[in-house]
Amino acid sequence: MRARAEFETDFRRLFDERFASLFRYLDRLSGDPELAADLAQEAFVRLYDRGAMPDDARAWLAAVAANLFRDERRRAHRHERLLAGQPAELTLGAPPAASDLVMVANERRADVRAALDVLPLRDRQMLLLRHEGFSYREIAQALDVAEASVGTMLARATAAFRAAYMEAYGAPD
Amino acid sequence: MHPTDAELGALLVAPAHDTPPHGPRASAAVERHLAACAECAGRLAMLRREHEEAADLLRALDHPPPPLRADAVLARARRRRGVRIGPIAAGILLTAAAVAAALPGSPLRRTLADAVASWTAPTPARVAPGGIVPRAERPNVGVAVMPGASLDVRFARWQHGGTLRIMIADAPRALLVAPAGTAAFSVRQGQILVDNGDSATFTLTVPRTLPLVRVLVESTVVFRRSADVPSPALPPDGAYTVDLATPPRNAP
Repeated sequence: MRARAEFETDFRRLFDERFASLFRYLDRLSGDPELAADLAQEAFVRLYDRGAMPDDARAWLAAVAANLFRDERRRAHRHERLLAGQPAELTLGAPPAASDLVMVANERRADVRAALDVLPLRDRQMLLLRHEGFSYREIAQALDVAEASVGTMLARATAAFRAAYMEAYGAPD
Repeated sequence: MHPTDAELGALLVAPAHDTPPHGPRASAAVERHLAACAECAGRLAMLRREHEEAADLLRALDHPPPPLRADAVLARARRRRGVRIGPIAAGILLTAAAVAAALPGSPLRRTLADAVASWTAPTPARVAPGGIVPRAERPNVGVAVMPGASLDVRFARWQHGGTLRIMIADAPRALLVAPAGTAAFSVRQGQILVDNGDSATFTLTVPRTLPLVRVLVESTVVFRRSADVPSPALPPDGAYTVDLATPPRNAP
């Protein structure tokens, strides 16, 4: 009982410290703030289900979030394939298209998104985790890659991201 | 020997927190090398500039995080845990009831039988007034939005019947669904536009932390909740109800 209370205290503190960062990471990764909010929340629910704090809670949350995002992408792709085989149908009362739900993106956001999407998913994750202040070790743990290779992969991802942006839009302001 | 970009990159973010890929000794060696090698110090400065440029670009992607509290997530986690534990608890009770039933005269017999009955009895189907089809038996249509500082829900017209139920919840998104009747939804900045039918009913869930929410029918404000003004007392059923019927029908 006491252990559970201590866990919940730790949980609250971790949530206050890490939720915004996890949301930002997922928002940047997906380009969909609603999905990011859902996945970030789900990652914390899974932490609660676990019932104990992992050794590196930050890396653990990022790993769970990465898995959730990958599952969501698979589900979305499957859904798109299914829809592609169906005749177009728009009935009264159908929810608006997903793009209607997203806040109007400004031009710069669209440019950055396009440059980021050039990167393979793992490079994108690595770059975004680094910009959330993750260490090489935490990135390795979150993405299940060798720690010794993180620095090289990260340098490559950063260069590719900047090159993709500059090639299309010139040097950043 | 000059350090690689990967080794220098480890120094860009929270170096005190980082474990360099080749261990602390390599890190100290890199630091010593940087102090003595202007070329590598220049490379590090360039990497730092590129890192900052990338950080600036990435900031352009950001949206404000949802105003979600730890309590809300804990409540959701506990609810889900309860759903999973429920069948297990029912199984334990069934087993205990069977044992109790084998002991005639046991005072536990009736108590456990009652408990088992309450766990296993099917939930009676809820029939909404006016023949409205319950939510679970009819696919919902609706829209969810992540509101900013305010939200207007605008209904295109008065109806001949139907209501809007408004609930306040610890949720990041506003959710408007039409459990009965027909309606089409579209979303604009800070607004949900509803092309409503003749007698549809709606349920609106509003994030508790949203500073301002208004509901309008045509151009008449029929509901307003603002952080600056005390909200009207919440009815016992936990939801405000707004009549969407035409004004003449409401008139005495």
